[in-house]
Amino acid sequence: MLGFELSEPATLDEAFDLLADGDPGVRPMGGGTALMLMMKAQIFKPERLVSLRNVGGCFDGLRIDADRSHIRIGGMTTFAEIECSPMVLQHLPAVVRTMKTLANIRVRHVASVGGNLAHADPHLDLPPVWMTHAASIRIVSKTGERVIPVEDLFAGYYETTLEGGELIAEVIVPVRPEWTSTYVKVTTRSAHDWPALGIAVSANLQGRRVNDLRLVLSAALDRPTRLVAAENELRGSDLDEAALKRAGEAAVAEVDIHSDSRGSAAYKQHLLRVHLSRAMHSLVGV
Amino acid sequence: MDALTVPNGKKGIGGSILRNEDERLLSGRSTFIADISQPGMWEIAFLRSPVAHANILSVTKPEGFEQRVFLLSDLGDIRPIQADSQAKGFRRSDYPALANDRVRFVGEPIAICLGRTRAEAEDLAQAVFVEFEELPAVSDLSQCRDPAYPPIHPGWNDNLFLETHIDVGDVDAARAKAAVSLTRQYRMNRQAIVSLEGRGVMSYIDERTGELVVYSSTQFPHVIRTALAHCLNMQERELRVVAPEVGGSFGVKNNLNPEEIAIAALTKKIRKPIRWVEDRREHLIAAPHAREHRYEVTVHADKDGLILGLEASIDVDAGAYSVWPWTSPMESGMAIGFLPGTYTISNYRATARTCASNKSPMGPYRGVGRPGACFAIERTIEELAVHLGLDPVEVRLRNYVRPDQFPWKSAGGKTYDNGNYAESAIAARDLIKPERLTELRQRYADSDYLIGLGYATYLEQTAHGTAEWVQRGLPVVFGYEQAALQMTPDGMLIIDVPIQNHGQGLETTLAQVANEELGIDPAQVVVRHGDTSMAPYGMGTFASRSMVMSGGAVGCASALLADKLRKIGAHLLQVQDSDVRLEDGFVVANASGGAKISLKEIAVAAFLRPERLPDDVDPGLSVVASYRTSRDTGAWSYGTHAAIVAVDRGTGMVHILDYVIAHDCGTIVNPMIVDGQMMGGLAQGIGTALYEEMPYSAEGQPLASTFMDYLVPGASEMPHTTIEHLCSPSPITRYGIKGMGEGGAIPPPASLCNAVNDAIRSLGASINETPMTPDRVLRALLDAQAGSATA
Ligand SMILES: Cc1cc2nc3c(=O)[nH]c(=O)nc-3n(C[C@H](O)[C@H](O)[C@H](O)COP(=O)(O)OP(=O)(O)OC[C@H]3O[C@@H](n4cnc5c(N)ncnc54)[C@H](O)[C@@H]3O)c2cc1C
Repeated sequence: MLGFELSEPATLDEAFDLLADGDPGVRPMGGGTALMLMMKAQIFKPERLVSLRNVGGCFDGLRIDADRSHIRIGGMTTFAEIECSPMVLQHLPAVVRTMKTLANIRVRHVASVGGNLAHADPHLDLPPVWMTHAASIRIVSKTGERVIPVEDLFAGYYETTLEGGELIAEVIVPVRPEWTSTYVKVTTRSAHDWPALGIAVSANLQGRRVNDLRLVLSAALDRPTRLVAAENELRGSDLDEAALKRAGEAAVAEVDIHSDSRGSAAYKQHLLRVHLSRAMHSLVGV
Repeated sequence: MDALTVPNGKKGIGGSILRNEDERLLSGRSTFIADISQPGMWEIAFLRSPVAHANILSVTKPEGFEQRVFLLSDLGDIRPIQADSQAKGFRRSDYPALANDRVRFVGEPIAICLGRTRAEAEDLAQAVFVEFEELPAVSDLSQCRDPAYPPIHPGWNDNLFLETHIDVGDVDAARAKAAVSLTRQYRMNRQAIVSLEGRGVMSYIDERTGELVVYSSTQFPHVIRTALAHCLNMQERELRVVAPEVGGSFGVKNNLNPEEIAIAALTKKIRKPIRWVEDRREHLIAAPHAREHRYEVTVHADKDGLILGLEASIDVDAGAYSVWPWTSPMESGMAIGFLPGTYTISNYRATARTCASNKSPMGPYRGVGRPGACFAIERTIEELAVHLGLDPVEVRLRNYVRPDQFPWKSAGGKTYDNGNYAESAIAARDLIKPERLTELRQRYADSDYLIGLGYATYLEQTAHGTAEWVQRGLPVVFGYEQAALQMTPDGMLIIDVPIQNHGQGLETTLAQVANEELGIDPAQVVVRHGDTSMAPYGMGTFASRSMVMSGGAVGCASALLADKLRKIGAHLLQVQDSDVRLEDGFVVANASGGAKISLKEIAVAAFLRPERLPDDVDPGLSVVASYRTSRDTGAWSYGTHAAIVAVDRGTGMVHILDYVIAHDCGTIVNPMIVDGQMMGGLAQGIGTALYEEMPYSAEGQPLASTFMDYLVPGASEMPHTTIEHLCSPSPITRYGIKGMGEGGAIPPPASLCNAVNDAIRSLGASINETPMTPDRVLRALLDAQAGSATA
């Protein structure tokens, strides 16, 4: 492995300058857990890594808006901070539950929310969870900032819509007291395996009736994807076997799942039907 | 696991004492290859073949680095690995230390690159340019005799190493008489052999002794010394092989590796210390693999399930080369020999083919051949029972070799020493409580879970001696062990043995054997191993042999030493030799209230104050003894496993609800260690049954090169397990000990597959392949559904 430079700027402006030259070998670093793996596998050969650990400001910590409408999570917030936050537990319990089977305690203590999103690996657990919560991200750059829904970040397998020099400053999650959510990490082999499928579901229910919902599929596709057709099957209807069956078929029809070492396409389609239905059932507590 | 065994106050044979070696291991202080270095040492990266089968047209070393890249031609006059079986018709495959004109599997080493760090060496390896002319790769057993695939070794006309046949009794008559003949096919797919520490070698020249010193993470240092001396044209005395702490091996470090030869040859040439520490990717793709068996089995039986005859066709993919010293037909030979299992089958006809392919060579892995054979026969027994509507345990009970039939000569050509197979099956049935099934099935009736119960009985030939290895046609015959004992002047005992301890607890159990003979506290015994300069010659640790063989040698040596200690002790106590005994670190006079003298005082006399010795006793307290079993056909452990599983019909996931083991390994030296070995073996057996697979693409590319793709079971996959120890001491070994290191890994594929089939049978589905991934299980369920829909 060849040498590289590691810089730890103390301000955001300094970070922008260090990132400025547009060289693919220059990248920001959050916790570095994904970067290290790519470097070890020699998929990525850095010239310079710009660590964001000292830039501070909105990159750090968790807060709730004064009107309690949104929770804001800084891009450098670690998974462990989220997992241990009473505020997140109260308003976004599905996020805390997701952490229990995400990586291991060592990774969770360093991996950052921003790095996790920017990595754009479709197998990651959190992106579909953010999407099902209708979260957005605030992106900052030397020239300004923009806010986009999380789903608009992903452009493909390990690809994002971030322009050179743009950084994920925070994740903004609406507080939705009438909604319940869950995430199912479908490992087809053993508990610590990469998922074959990630299914994040979130719904506003009245008894068995679905007022509104958001369904997201990850891992089996090149990016986490909303299952719009399946949502349409269920929105406004009762959660019964027939509706769930229709939703499952709609889901399978609207996405193009490929085979890999975690299962054949047919197998994963089958899992999608089964787990979508089980996940929706779990929301009603059946 | 249920805590059946707790410290019981005994220190000798049968005592559950804590392990002497644990302190250094658990505190992380011990030294493995990666912890050992020499001043000025270079690190190595191997340039390995990225293609499965190709002619090497040219290799270009990076400019300016010619002195740091080495090809076969740079290593001088060395011999390839020649693992030739004596079996008639065997086709040989020379396995060079570095590939020269041809590569035959992805991962085969081509060049050694040196760097100041491993990273630097890897960068250099990437800069070497190799021009390949690719050839069709044999990547599946079905291609073995397909003329579309050229032979991978010179002088061959297809890709078969060996075909062997067994035909005993009268199978045709059995078939004619049978009320039922059932044919089934089984597949056990290829696996990697995952040890926590990969392979590794560090070597340097010791100018003072004139030795080429080779540290290798190996299971058998003396045998490696013999092999290296042969390949490098050296005297054995010019070589010292040291196995330092070895971080798990399970068979994968029980071969002569091309890397060992290449590194030793290079050190000899450049006279600089060099080290190779295998990384996980290298380990998964380039270290020897295991399993990959296919079977077609036909059983002939009467209407009560009594087996009248057995027919089988067995195919094993042994990969690209024959590994030394086991030879490539080892797997298929074990499979054909063990298929009749614990049953009184006397009409047996079978063919076993050992096929070559462009995959990593097949080597020994915990259980060797037997997990496949056990899978095939135990699935077949269960199928027979189902077909006849009989209880699977009852069918086994009708067919087991009975205690009064030992020694039993099996149709597979083996001689079983003793046992009570029925007792193990009944014990397993009592533990698993089949009557629970009804209740469990009711409880899960409204869910997606299907409940099933499965059994499997296994045999584990251990400590096989001369006759067995000669019968198998091996180049080396591992019939004995030696041990050297010396007492120190302060009364401690040092035992030097040529076997290896890489997790088995042998530093403790051998000390317990010494305690049995000498009454010395195991804490006062140091067992040293893994160094050809310390121990007398011996064969190493594998094939569940060390407790029997090395335990026997330590026992014999201890008995000799005990004679001398008693003699000196009696003299010092001024009583007759015959009037004393060894007990708790003393020689004690038998007379009531008898005087005693400590081993320490005796040692002082023997070494420092020879004037105190009797006239007919020489100074010193050291003994070398060698041991072999009284018959050399092996001590046979066995047992029955039973499992209850829940299969999720929605996803095909298999959950193990309960697991029990009732086994017999003869006299148990340390029950706690036996439990540990059982659990470790079970974990690996569960890996074979449910998780582990090394698939290859049609181009011969291994498809699992990291732990992201190659799945081993973790703690969360281990079921609740109950172990019961039965005990029929072996009639052919000292103390009646039988080996037991592999048994835990042998039957889980069979027991679990039987349980899964029991669960899914009600839906008309069946599965006969490992690993039983959820994808495969679900496909079996969907196929059955489709079948019943069209029927
Ligand atoms: C052992 C292990 C197990 C794992 N298991 C799981 C698991 O079970 N489930 C799961 O979901 N994930 C798992 N992961 C992946 C883990 O979630 C990611 O590695 C982690 O989220 C990446 O975050 P990071 O801060 O370390 O990113 P980094 O490695 O620092 O960065 C990742 C990418 O994001 C870019 N980047 C970093 N910060 C920003 C920013 N603020 N703005 C823009 N770009 C940025 C970097 O340039 C890089 O391209 C595992 C990882 C490991 C090492």
